[in-house]
Amino acid sequence: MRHVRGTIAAVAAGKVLPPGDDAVFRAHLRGCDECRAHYDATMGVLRLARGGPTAFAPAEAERLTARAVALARPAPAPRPWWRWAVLPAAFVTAVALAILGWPRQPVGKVLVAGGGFTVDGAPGAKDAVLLAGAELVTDEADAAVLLEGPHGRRALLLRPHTRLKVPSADDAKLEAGRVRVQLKPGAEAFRVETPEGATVTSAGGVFVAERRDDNTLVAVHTGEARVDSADASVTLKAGQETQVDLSGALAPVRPASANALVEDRGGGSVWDAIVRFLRGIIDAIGKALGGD
Amino acid sequence: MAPPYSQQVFSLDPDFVRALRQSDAAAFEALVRAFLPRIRRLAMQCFSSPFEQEDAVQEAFAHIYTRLGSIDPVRTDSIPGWVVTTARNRILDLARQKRPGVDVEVTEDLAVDEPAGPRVVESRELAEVLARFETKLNPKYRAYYRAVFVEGRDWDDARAALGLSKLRAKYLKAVLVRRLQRHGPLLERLGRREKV
Repeated sequence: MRHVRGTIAAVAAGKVLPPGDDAVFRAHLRGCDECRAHYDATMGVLRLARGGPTAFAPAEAERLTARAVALARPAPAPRPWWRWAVLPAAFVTAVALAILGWPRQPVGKVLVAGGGFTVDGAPGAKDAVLLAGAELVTDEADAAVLLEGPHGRRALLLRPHTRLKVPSADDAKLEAGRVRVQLKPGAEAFRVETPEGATVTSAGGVFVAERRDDNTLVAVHTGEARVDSADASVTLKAGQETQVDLSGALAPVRPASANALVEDRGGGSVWDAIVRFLRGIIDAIGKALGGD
Repeated sequence: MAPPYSQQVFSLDPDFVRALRQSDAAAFEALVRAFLPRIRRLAMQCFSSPFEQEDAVQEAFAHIYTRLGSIDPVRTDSIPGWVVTTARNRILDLARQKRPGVDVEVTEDLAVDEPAGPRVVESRELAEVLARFETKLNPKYRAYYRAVFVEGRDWDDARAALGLSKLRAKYLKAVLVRRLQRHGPLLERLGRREKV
């Protein structure tokens, strides 16, 4: 996975990233020690240059405000001035499409398209519109999409080697890989279906679903999520995880492991292997302390 | 591109409180602007990394946003205290989650407001480092540096004040950020502080 030094430089120079890009940027920093250290050092010297470690770096207050305020702002409704001019053409197109077959509804757009990312088999570019039922596939790099519908906006981070379908703006179907779902607190419910047929439903917060060899892991970072399978359902709170096995049975709820919640750099590099190994040790220590 | 910001100001006026209780975006933005310095200071007491501090600030505001409906419209005087205490509790939770077993405490200073405007340098030693940095800086970069880092203006305000083109300002920003990132004495001070 590529590093984000360019974005760090842009943010340091006052760029306020749109909410979706910002979420992806911060997710990368969370999982990449090298970039995070670079970000910390950059912000650190900018603060010192402003008078001390507690001073605001230039544009820092604006950035923090924009990020917090994004929680409360509804999705902007695009209202171009020329919209009246396209109405007749849109009507004709709609009639034609209705005759040929009902069109798929737009359900969102691509925020970040890493190398090899495809939408319905075609290369997916930034700002590409996603239609209902689209199949999203990542290769070696991450991708992020924003789903927008009558029930609000949802940000999805697709890790490398992920295949996900989006039947509507309110649900997604994970077929392979790992997806991180970010919802505004108090949002309308969003559903992810696992390959085993279980559903993960959340109405606010951040959760991940990861398809593994013989199960699907579901872990909640913030907020709550309910996991329903054919014969059981559990509610996960922040910092908890469960697994759905091939038969659809749910494992008992337990504290989330370090690997469950933190995104690595992807790509399966040696560095990732080292980080995962260290997190495994941390989990083993945690279990030993807990008497497991 | 950032959304346009409203100009609403935080107050304890009944209309404003009602808007806040209804999670109105402009009212929440006014609250964020009013309490950002304090909540950031709370986060700085628990986290040393700027990235983690920013995350904690965001989590604190997200927590407050989900609880706006619980503001008591009768006891409006208690709102500032409620905001700070709610943020403080959330930040403490995050700090304990991050470092279980470590005793974390923060102090609330409701009375102090963040100094705005021209730079106030925290120590003589840092002032000397910054003065040397400025002296070594190419004179054509100095005016923009002074406007942003000494006079405390934002990048865009400084650009407008100096009548610079966007392209020129973009170049100057990149140069200044790069010079600061590579300035040994500043990095040395940063390293020294992080070890404390």
